[in-house]
Amino acid sequence: MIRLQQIEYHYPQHPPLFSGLDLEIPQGSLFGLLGPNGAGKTTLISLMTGQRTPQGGEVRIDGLDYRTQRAAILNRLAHIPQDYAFYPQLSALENLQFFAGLYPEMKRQRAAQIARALETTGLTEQAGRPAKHFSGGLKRRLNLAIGLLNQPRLIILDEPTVGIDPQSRHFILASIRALNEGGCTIVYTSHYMEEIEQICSRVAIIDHGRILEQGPLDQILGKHPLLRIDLDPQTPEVQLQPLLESLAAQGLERSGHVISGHPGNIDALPVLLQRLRERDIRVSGLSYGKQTLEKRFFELTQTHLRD
Amino acid sequence: MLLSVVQKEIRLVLKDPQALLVLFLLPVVFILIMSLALQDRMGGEHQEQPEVGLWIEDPAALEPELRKSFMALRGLRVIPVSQQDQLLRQLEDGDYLAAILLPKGFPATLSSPTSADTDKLQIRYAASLPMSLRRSVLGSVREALGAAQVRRLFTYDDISEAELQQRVDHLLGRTLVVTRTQGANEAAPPSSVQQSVPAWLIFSMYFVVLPIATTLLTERQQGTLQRLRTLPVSGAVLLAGKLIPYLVINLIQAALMILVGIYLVPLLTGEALQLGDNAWWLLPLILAVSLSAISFALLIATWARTSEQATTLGGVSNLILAAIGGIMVPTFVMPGLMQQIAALSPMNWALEGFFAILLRHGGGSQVAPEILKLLALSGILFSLALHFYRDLTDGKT
Repeated sequence: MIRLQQIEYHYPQHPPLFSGLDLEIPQGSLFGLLGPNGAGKTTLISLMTGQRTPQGGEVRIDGLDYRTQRAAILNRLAHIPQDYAFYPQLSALENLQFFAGLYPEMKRQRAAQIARALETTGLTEQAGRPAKHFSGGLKRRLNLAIGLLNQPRLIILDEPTVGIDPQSRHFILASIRALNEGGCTIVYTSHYMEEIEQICSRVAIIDHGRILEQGPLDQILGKHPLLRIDLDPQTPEVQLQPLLESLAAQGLERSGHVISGHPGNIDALPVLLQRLRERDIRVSGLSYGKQTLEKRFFELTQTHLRD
Repeated sequence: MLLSVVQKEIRLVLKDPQALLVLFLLPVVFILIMSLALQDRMGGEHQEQPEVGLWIEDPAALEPELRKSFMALRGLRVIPVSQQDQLLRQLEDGDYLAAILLPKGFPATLSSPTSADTDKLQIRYAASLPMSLRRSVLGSVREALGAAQVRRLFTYDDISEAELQQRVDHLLGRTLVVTRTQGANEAAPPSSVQQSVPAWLIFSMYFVVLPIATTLLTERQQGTLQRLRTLPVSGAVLLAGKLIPYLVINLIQAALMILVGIYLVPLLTGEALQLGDNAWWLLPLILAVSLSAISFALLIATWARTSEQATTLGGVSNLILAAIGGIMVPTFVMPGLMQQIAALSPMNWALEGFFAILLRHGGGSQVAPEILKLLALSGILFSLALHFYRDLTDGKT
């Protein structure tokens, strides 16, 4: 379990990024961390992985504190950065031998762990090739393999599927799911919302250093059910105009011939449909239920461009 | 843990042919070129003397003693040439530094103060000959002439050859003068090989800054350092792991360059490097030079923010340290002020250490001060590098 309590953090000569931030990632969860650029994701990961120390509050991994049990935490954790964090001049095997050598506790099982990491990531056949000759997908898999060397109980993956082909993406996502099913806690950051929706059981959406929403993915998407009414595209605009006021009152909005939003009370839906009928506006489609993660993300973080 | 870092660094260097070229081939080339190019311009037991050509129009008319004096001009190697035209052509072609021409009427001028210029001895200098060497050639010729004139004074005395020579030396003032060099440069200046081998070895040892900086900056740029921060390994171990392989590389460089000086330079007509009686002091000296070079490289690599910054800073500072430190221009030809500035360069400390062993055959008392200075500098530089590296690798606020 990762627990961040009352975290205070600011970069020199910058306003505070985190002020009393709380975040809890349960043991064994596959946790999606979302946020636009500059939201504070990278700093949050740096705090979780011990690369940075908060000015206030505490970070605990499985109950252990970085201030007193740093080595014990790092032995059970793996951080897989977005960059290809290895030596391209060396072969996959040489890279794994180097990184495995940095875990003193692994001494006896080193060869076995390397073989297992190669096998898990499907790199056994490529072990002797210099990493610089690898495709993007193979490099991502080597990046992952290095992270598996210490059989971590917690893996933090930072955009592990950027710039790779669909097959490699499928392989990596399947591997992550398998690792999670094996009991490993996984923190997954990505800008690909469909990936998060596909594999994560819990998510947190962060922006401007604040957790805007966190919890089980089903709850987050189901908490604010989305109503969507598709109107007959032949309906003239003049017929639609008078609807605006009553839609706003119910928490709905119209964009072209689509009415959508989170109605305060779904029981009012028949009344709305009745009004449409009275104005001779035909409905061509209707759905009500969970919204998409992307929709919820934009609702919380807005759509304006970030640096 | 440390072994893994060392092994990785060695693998990275071995897979970097450019670095190997700079570290091993470049100094060999420099040593060969500079040892051979400067062998006639620097000291040394086998130093070749500058050559001058001698043409005597009528050899039979010249007294044998005088002819012998001209063939043995002090500090010059005299090559007799039978044709005047040929000698002048060779002079213009750069085969000789000067031509000494003795016309048929020259012997008569020795006893006639008012001879015609056409009968007098002529010295023709090569156009490019510096003034100092012109004076040297002229001085040697005048000395030979003086000796011949003095010898004539005693022609009719009934004295032995040894006594005659003693009188000549006395009247020429040779026996009245004792020469000696005072101060730090008490020993003879180094020969070209004694200068070139240690100088270019030190220079190449300091060039470990290029592979060290490239590796470390690549680690930073590729995110590898970020990953290393999340592994249970300290910055000190990672930095020490970078130090050890380059210490080995520096030792191999030293062995190779010394072998080049001993065996390869003489094969190419140069003077062989002599190690002297206290050669074993080379090992601690080389280790101290290596530690200072690697620590300096680590400091630049950890301080710089980009590869370009590190390679430029490393390369330029090495060139400056070499230029002022007596690597490129020997300190003994520098004016006093520049010699004082040279003493500020760690490359000069290293070079003086080598001279103490190779040139003055000195032991601990002469080498130890240079070793201690280098070790102290290494300690300071490594501590600073570790400070910067910890900022990069360890958890920080």
